[in-house]
Amino acid sequence: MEKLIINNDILFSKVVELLREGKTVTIPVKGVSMLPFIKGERDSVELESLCGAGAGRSVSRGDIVLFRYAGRYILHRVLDPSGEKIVIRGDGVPEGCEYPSREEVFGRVKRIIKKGERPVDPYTGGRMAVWRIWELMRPLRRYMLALYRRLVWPGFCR
Amino acid sequence: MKIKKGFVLRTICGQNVISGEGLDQVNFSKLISLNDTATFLWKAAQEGDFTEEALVSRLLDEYEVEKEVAEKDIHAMISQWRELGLVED
Repeated sequence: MEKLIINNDILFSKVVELLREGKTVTIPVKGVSMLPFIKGERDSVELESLCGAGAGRSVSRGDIVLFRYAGRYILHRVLDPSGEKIVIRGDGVPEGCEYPSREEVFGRVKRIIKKGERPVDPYTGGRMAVWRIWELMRPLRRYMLALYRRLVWPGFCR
Repeated sequence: MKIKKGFVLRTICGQNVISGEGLDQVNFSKLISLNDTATFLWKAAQEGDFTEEALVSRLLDEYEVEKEVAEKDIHAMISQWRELGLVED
């Protein structure tokens, strides 16, 4: 079957509208910026609301969130939720952060849906521990990602 | 036969698409795109129980097509809907 490409802004404004109503929304993920935890073009994520009347919770460190920053919709992980601007970075990004305001953070990944596998809760003790180690090794991230792409996932993203 | 519960027709970016939705769940990772004719037929089918013959006559009322062509196309479309799990008996 043909793949249907929908303009990002239009799709996401719909997604945000539904999140505001308190709905859970599943979307496909693109790109490599959340490697190795989320694989773009293969995984989908289930989002719960962080905005509007439907918001069920506030943002915590380690949450993977959908937000808007510099005119783009992005799915990355919260490093520091304490300030006026939230500090966010992709797991697969060696350097640089995003700093959206609270109102621009719309949803939180509840589960990662991988083809042919059971949905994954990214916040179990074990997975958060792996993420913390991954964060500690950030100075080496560039090399680890290169290695990861070469060994674990060859053929991806040329 | 009828269309299963939980499928919603939406217009996104000028495209008619069907998404699977539960009470509080919307799934955009699997969208089914419909052309104008299929959208017309989907709406007709959504009115309740329907048969292939009923859809053929709706199509003939609305569009200028030959009966054999309409029958063949609708049969193919409904087989596809079945394959995708959109309809039940």
